[in-house]
Amino acid sequence: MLTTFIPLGVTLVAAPLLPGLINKTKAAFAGRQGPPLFQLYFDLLKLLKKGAVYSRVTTWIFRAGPIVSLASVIVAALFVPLAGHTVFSFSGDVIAFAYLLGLGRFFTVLAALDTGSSFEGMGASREVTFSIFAEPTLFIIFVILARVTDSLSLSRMLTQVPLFGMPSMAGLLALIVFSLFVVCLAENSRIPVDDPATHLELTMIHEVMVLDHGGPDLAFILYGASIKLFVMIAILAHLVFPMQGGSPVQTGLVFGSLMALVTIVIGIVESAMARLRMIRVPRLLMAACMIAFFAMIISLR
Amino acid sequence: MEHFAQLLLISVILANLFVLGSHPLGACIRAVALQGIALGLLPLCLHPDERSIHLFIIALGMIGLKGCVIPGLLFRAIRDAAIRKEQEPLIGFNTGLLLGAVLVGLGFGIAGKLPLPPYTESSMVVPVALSTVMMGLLVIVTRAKILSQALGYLILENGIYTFGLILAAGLPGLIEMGVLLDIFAGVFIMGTVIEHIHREFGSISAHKLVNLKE
Amino acid sequence: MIVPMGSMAGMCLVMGLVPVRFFPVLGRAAAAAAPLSHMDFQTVIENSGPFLSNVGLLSCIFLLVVALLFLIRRAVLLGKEVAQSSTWRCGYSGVTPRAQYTASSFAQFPVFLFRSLADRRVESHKPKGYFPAGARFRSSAPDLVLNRIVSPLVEQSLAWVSTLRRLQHGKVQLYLCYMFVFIVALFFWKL
Repeated sequence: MLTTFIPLGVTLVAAPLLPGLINKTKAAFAGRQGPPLFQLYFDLLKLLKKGAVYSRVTTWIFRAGPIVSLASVIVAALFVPLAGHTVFSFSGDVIAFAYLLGLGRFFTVLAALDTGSSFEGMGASREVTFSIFAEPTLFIIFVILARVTDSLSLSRMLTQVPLFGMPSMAGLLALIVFSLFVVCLAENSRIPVDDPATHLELTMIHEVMVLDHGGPDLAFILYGASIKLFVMIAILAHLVFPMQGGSPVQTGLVFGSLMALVTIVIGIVESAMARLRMIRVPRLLMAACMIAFFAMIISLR
Repeated sequence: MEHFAQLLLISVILANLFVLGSHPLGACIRAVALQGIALGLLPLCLHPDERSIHLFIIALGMIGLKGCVIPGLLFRAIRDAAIRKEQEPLIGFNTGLLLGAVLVGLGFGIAGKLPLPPYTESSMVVPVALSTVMMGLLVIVTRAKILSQALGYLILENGIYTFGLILAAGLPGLIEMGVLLDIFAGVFIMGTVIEHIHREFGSISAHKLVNLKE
Repeated sequence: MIVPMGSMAGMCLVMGLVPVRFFPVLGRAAAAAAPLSHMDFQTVIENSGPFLSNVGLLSCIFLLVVALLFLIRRAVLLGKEVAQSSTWRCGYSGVTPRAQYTASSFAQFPVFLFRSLADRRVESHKPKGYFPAGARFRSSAPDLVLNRIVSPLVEQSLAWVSTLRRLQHGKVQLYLCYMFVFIVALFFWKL
């Protein structure tokens, strides 16, 4: 009974490793050593030890924002399979997954608008605009997967049919992986959509929405962001995961190395490209949406 | 081999969508060159039982022509006319992409309704051919620069060639020669016309041609 | 006012947490309109049981996790100082927080992206010179469907219909004449 919660445990424990791996990759490309791999763990501990400062203008929404965004991401992680094993799944949970992520985004945007500062409002506006293009792409990808595997449960969609092994699906898989990769970059505020290391408010999107949070609130937000990255990389890794059965340790190792590979690819993309101009980002997302739409048309035959 | 054909057809459509976005002219010409190479390889994958030296030579010739010679001529035309690399599209990037996606959907929809020979039902050749023809027309209609219109014409010819692939199971050569003569004539004429227009008007934007009315 | 609104909000919450209990009730209400649709309501209600209980379970889990995180945060902040301060301003801080960021600013980016669909009118007088007298800016995005489609249709129809107003002139003899004409027409129709 307790073994069903192992994927959730792995997610909660291993999620902060991924931003560290991305930073290490970027540092390796720049010829530096970079921050240690476990830096996010140290940051979270440091933030939890601090107190909090709230603005007089804010209401309960500002205090609830980080909690709801972290809770929604943790509950969404229940549905995502890790190396083929899920904690909780039912038919139709793919919609619950997408809506939980949307709920987290909604509360983050509300908390940003609650501060009464124009910078956070600007970030909220950009975040919502990019999600106009990113969420339909995600839904189209889910529709394609539901059609190909004939099921509406996220875990069954990703683990039932090893799409990687079938040569007839090669073209379709390439298109799906590309669009999902672009959606992953957009949702987790990676270059080329957003620069996670920028210090200029005028160019921030996700960072400026959480500008006013500090202490445990910021720890919740950073932790939630790392879990969201973990979950989306897990979905991506499952699309190219070739193994069907096997001992849990074996599949776990293969899956873990696949996830590390995807994370390193994200780090390489971040080092090789610069952030796109704000006006060009909807074009990239629109291109991903059209490619997903094209893949859906192919899969309808 | 049929899966490789599917990959080639997907890259044909992706090249079309690329040209519809407002990328610089050089990148678009390269995309059409890649499309030509993919279409040159296609007969080898579609008809695996009729592979012969003849087919290989034709495929090589197509790749050389569509992938190297014609784009080379276009690049030379750009250099001689010394024009800027922007495309001057009449519709924006997003609208172009959206229309392209709609045309792809239309192509697949129409192909589903047409009475086709049974061996083509499962492959994507007919829908891709229809979509390519429509997107070539869209490029011609929405571009002001004559070189971009020449590119649209090339895409149109690629689409017609893809159609010919279904029918010319045994005789690719005959249809090929006809189509290629067309392309050659078109590109040469366009090249000469572009040079003349540039010399007379100093620019090759279609907007300037309005002066011919007087 | 709070009590009825609060009780309705509470009902919504309970329905979200335990939808299995309420779905048959909704199903019976919908089954009253069943002859109009081709849906087999009985099987739909029966088959939805497991799915709805899963959705209810999901909502309960979510609220539990929210409560858990709230308690964790409260425990973490127990010995620390929790201060209040003003929002850090950068830029124009002379107005109240309500005026810092408005709804039209929030909508400005998507309206710009879809500007061919949204008809944004901007009226601006920028400050000129070294000691500018004043400046104005006004932007509005009037409703396209209302202004371009519904209003012209409605105005046209009103224009046509108002020609029929001539029948409403107030002369009693002509009203008696109308009655006579219609009764004669009815006679002819029946015969």
